[in-house]
Amino acid sequence: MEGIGTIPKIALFGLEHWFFTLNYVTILTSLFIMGLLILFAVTVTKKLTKIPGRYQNIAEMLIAAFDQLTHDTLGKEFARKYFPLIMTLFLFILLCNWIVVFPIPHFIHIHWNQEPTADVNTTLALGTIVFFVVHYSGIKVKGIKSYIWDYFEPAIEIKNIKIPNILMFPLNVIGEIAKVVSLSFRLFGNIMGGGIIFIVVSHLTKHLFVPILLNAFFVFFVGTVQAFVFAMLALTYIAVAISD
Amino acid sequence: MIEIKDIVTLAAYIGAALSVGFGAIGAGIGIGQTGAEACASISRQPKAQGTIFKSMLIGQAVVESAAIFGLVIAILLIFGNVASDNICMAFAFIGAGISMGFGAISGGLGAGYTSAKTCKELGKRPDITTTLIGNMLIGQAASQTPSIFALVIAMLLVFIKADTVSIVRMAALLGAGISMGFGAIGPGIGSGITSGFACEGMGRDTKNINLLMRTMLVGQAVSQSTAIYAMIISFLLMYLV
Repeated sequence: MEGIGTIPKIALFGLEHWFFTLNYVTILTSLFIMGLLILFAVTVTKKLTKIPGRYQNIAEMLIAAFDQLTHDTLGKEFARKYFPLIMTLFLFILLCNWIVVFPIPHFIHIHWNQEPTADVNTTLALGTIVFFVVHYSGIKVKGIKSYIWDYFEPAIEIKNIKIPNILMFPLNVIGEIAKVVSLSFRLFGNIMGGGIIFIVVSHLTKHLFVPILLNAFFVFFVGTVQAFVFAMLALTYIAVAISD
Repeated sequence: MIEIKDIVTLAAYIGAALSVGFGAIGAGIGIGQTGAEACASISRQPKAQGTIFKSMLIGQAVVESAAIFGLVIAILLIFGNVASDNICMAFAFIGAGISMGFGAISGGLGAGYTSAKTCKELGKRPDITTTLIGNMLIGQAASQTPSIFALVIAMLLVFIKADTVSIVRMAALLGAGISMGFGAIGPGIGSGITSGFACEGMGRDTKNINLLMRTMLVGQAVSQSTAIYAMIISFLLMYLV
C-alpha cells in the first residue's frame, strides 16, 4: 500500500535521468512472455499433422478467429501481409494482461505492478509501432502524393475542381496524434487501474475472498477485451490508411 | 490550529468524491441503455439470444471502464499519501477530481448508446455478428477517448510538482482540471451518437460496410478535436503558467 506510485528501476551508470533508467520488472516480464510465445510456436509447428493434436488445435483456433477478421477488413491481397502483426499484438497484450495471475517470478523482488502493460512505457511503445506501420503502409500503398492529399480531406469542390481545404490540415494532424495517444493510454489506464483497485480492495478486506473475484474480473474480462480492442483498432487504422 | 497539510488532505478527499460521484453517472445510464435494448432485441429474436447476450456483456464491460477511471483517480487521491505542504496542491487535487469526474460522464453515455444500438441491430441481423461487434468496439473506443484524455490530465495533476506558492498557480491548476473536465463532455456523447447510427446502418446495408466505417471514423475524429483543444489548454495551464 505504501508503494503505490513508485516504480522499481535501476539507474544505468548511476545517473538518475529518465533516459538512463530501466524498469527491470517490466523488462524481465516482457522477455519472459516473449520466450513463452516463441516456445509455444516452435514446439507446436515442429510436427504438423493433418488431424491436429491438442496444442495444434489451440493454435489453429486462434489463427482461424483472426484470419476471418483480417480478410473481411483488409481484402485478400493485404490480409496475409498484416495478419502476423495483428496476431502478435493481440497475443502479446493478452499474455501481458494475464501473467499477473501466475506467481511466477519469485526470484525477483515482486513490486506492485507486474504486468508490463501497467507500465506506460510498454503501451506507448506498442502505440508507436502501430503509428509507424500505419503511416509507412499508407505512403507505400497509396503513394506520397495521395497520402499528403488525405491530410487536406474533405476538399472544397468548385465546379469539379478540388481545392485542398487548409483548415482541415491541423485537425487531421491532431487527429493522427490523438489516435496514438488514445490507443496507448486506453490500455494503460484500464490495466493499471485494475491493479490499483485490486491492491486497495485487498488492503480493505484484509485479503479475504473478495480480491480473488475482483482479480478474476479485471484480469480475464477487462484484459481480454482491451487486448482485442487494441488489435482491432490497429487493424482498422491500417485498413483506413491503405484503402481509398 | 488547522495546518496546510490538513487543508490539502481535505481537498484530496473532495476531489476523490467529485471524481467518482460524477464519473459514475454516464456509465450507469449507458449500461442500463445497453441492457434495455438487449432485452428488447432478444424478445424480437429469441433464437439469437446467445449472440445478443454475449455482445451485451462485452459492450457493458467497455462502458464500465469509464467509471473505473473515475474510481482509480479517487483511490489514488484517498490512499496515495499525496499530502504535501504546498497549498497549490489542494487546488490541483480538486482540479483532478473535476477533470476525471466530468470527463467520464460522456465516455459512459456515448459508449453506452453505441452498444445499445448494436444489440438492437444484432437482433435483426445475426449473420454479420463479427462485423457488428468489431465496429461496436471501435466506435466505443473512439467515444471513450476524451475520458482517457481526462484521465491523463487528472493523473498529471495528482502527481505534479508544485514548487511555487502563488495565487496564479493555484488558479492555473484548478483551471486545467475544469478545462479538460468540461471539454470532454461534448465529444464523447457526439462520437457515441455517430457510432450508434453507424452500427445501425451496417445492419441495414451490408454491402458498404467499409464506407460506413470510414465515414464514422472521420466524423468522430473531427468531433474529438475539441477535446484535444481542451487538453492543449490544460497542458499550457499546468506547465507554462
